[in-house]
Amino acid sequence: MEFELKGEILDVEAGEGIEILDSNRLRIDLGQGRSCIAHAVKVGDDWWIHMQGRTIKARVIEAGANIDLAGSACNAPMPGTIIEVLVTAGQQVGEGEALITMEAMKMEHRILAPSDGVVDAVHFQAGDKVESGELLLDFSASE
Amino acid sequence: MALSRVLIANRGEIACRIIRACVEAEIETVAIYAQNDAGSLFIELADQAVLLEGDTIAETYLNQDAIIRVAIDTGSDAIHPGFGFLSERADFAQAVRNNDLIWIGPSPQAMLAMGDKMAARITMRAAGVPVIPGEEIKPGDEEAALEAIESASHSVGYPLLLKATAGGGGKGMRVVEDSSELIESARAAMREAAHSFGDSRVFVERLLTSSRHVEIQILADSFGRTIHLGERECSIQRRHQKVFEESPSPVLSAELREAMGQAAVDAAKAVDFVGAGTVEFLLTDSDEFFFLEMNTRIQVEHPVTEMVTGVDIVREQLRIAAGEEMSCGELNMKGHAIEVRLYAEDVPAGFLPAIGPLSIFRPPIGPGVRLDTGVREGDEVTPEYDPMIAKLIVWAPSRMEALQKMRRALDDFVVLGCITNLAFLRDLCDHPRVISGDTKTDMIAIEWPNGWSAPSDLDEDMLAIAAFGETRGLHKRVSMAEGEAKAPSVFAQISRRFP
Repeated sequence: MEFELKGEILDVEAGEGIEILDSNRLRIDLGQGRSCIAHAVKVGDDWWIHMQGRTIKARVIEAGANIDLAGSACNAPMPGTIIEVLVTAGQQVGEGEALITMEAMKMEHRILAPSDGVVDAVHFQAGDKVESGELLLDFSASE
Repeated sequence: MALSRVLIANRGEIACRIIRACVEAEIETVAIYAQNDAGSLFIELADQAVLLEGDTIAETYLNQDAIIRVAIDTGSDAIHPGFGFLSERADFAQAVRNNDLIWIGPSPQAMLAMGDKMAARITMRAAGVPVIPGEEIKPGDEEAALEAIESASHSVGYPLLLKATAGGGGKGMRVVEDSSELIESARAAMREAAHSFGDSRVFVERLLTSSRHVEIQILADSFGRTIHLGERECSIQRRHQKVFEESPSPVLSAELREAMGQAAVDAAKAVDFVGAGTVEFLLTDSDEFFFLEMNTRIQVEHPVTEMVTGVDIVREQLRIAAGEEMSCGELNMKGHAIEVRLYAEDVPAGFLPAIGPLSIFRPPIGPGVRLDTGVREGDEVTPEYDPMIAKLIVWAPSRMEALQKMRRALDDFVVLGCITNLAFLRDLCDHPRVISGDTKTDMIAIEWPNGWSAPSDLDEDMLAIAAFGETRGLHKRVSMAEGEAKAPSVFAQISRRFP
């Protein structure tokens, strides 16, 4: 079974020595009579696991699914509101140049150009609300 | 006069904290809330809750007229502002008083004197309290302000700090390393200040790098007694927001505590301060301290002071507001307390705010462990408000034991469904500089220059558990439970009718 964890696709076998206590709690056999409790919950496609002070979020990969792991620097890193669009379509920008400022939870964040390149299109304007991961603008890196 | 009913003009964790203090003082409580808080914990705790119409914070938690109207309509005799929102708005305090309501906080005059950070610097200098070199920016339009900031930057020098005159909590604050970033940072700071406080003014201060943030808790009653409750060390910050606070400070000598305490008492007296407040200082390696600002309200990190002094600061606020003498005696600090702030944020991604359901939220318990929170399991972290989920506070006889207790408590803390800084907080407890008490305000940036990444030692084991959950359909058990909950209510059969 395949999972995506921290940007990597991993093939995983179901663990053994696990006892279901209730729908979120599992007893993990650590050998020699020792055990610990792990917590597990599935939210959407993500399994959230906590054990001994560690937490992971791992996404179940459906067989045959086509996963875009890379993401893009020009996607909204979090849900929020666009405050200002600093570039227009066709504009040449340098690496690290601010393209868009957005706000979430009363903090401002700047979307920066990932490299030298050209802004092909801008998809939002000031005041628009965006979801996490939404593509804010089309960007092509220069050769 | 004794308080009988208090309106809490706040939400979340601090609203819960205040409501509980009121219940213990046998005072009734009135909550106000925005529609998106309709299911929140603080509404359940209050004796009554009144919805404020509107979608924006300006229409709800910052709506002075509506809040005062609710206070009058519900027969409340006082308003507690908590922190953030209207807590440092002198005009609101004045409006509250004008409507014959008690303001649980200092006088509007004291708030004005301290709330305008620039005016406060001037008052403190006159009172003999040392201040950081900096320059005021005269009010004007944006272009004039930018010009003034430009000119001030020459006399103050780099690196400098732009700070909102009406600010607090890191909002409207920007570090500027050199002149090329100045104008863009100034625009951003002014915009953030305008959005957070309705006041876009900023001022310029010299950035004292590698210093400590040490603050003194003040209590003053209307009988002329002003005392300090010792210090809180809050140097560990990210983006100017505190994440780890402790009392006592690992570096303060008894003499320095007394000197800073006295300076804080002098600062409070200089503005005729009554109530609970905090005087913040920067402390340098050479034990020099500079006045930063005075917060004229309860602070997020007040619990560490409560744990080491045994004083319930919110309870004292209620006494002082009712015109009674404060009940605490001489300062008597015992043991060591640490607080960490649990934020919904993605630390490896640069402390980006996160949202999501708190599908599992199981805080640690045990002796010396305290949790202040406004959420419970099943709640949702949304982008509308501050990303702080909870404050975890521990007390132990010594600093090393307190750190160990914090490690244990953090390991026991289960939060699933929303990304948090839990693992980062746990990592902090193991950092040599935290263990030795060598904490400075720039520590996080210096120790993790390329960002922080979560330990991965148990990743494989936890993946095997995830695969087990998936193959055994653990999540389908959850939906079964949900299905059961949707069965017809036994009460649906009740069909009492009036004759």
